[in-house]
Amino acid sequence: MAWLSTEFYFYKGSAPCRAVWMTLKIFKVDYEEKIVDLLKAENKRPWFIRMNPQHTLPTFNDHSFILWESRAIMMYLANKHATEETQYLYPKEPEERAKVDRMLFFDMGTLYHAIKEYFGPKIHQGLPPDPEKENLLKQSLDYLDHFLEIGGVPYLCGEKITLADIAVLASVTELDALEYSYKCYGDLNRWVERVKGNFPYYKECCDEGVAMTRARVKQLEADLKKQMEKERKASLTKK
Amino acid sequence: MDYYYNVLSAPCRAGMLTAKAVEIELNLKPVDLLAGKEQLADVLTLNPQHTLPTLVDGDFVLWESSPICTYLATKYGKTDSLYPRDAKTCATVNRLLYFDLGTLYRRFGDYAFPPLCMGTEVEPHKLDLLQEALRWLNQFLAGHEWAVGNNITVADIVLVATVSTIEAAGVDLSMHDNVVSWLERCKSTLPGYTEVNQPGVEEFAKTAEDKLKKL
Repeated sequence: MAWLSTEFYFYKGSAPCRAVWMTLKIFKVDYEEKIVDLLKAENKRPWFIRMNPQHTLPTFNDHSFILWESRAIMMYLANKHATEETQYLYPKEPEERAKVDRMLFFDMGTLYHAIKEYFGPKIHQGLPPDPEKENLLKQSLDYLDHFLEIGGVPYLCGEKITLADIAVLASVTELDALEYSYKCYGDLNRWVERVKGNFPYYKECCDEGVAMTRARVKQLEADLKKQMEKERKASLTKK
Repeated sequence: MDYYYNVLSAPCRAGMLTAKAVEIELNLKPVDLLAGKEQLADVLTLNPQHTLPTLVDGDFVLWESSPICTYLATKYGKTDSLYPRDAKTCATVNRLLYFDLGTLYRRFGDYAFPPLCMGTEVEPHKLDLLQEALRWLNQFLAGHEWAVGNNITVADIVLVATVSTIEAAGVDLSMHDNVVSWLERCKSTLPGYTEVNQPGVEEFAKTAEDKLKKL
């Protein structure tokens, strides 16, 4: 009975899902886990589309209030569940809140977008990443590194972790899953270590999903190699 | 309050529409996207990401158009109607702001910007993806006057800047009844629509005329 419960529809291998998962944990929200297997296209089933016509993950059901878009869910959880102790994660004061919002929109529109564009072929088919899109990714990482450099504060928006750090960290874990090194971005690298070390739910919410994506990509690459070898041999015997 | 913008850009017009709605006077600073570095110096110094729009409110510099809209609504709105404090209503507004950035405006850009900016051929499958996004918007608008319930919010403002630009690009909206009637409602009701959004839309239409053949 959906109207009596809080349900989190997610897939561990998805970075935006991990961002919401970490947010649910830090605000100590009670919810039921509903794993949706993207690889089996469970999000395209009629019951899911009835709930969310865009059939995206994560999706959140709060007693029949349905919400999707990971960062909108994060903001909702903060607005609904933040206490005096946890308000720092999404400050109420307009300028401070706007800084967090700015980074959430940067995450979606620039950083995570660039990650998807570059790694799309690899994630979905085990093909090499799209070389034309690497500049877009490098530019996004450059901006992120630069924001941290000029910010003069330990986290993206100030002295404490905010929703911005959680969302951007989740996107960066996708780079970990795809074994893309960002070590050359000094401030970014230090910030990643800082957040991973200080955010209590990072390992619980990210380790398994990152491992899943890494394993799946390796499998796709191996399958593709076998397929290409098969085709190569077939074309040789034809001659 | 300085506002660096270009009139062709839908995200820029969204900020201007929000300022009108909260009755804030912006010191408009038009930026020619093709200008040299000296002319762009201001924006380049203020905003390390070099994007438009950029807002300067005293010492506070802000970019990303949706955060600019929600910031103006929160700080200067006489009531919270443009960006309601109620968690669920606010969440649905936010969902639509992300839908605009990540899906609607994104798919429009993917379809329109390569032909407009680089003279490449229009790709039909990209138009299909845009039409899918418009079908979703059509569904979201069913059963109520505005994007979220029966009051104007920043979701209407951000979405109308995008949808009016999509219309100006010659994209057929006629199969999306709710979008068509909502768009007309926005044009006649949103504060300052004719003054703020219409000129940019008309200029965009002129730019798009030859380069985006109607499919």
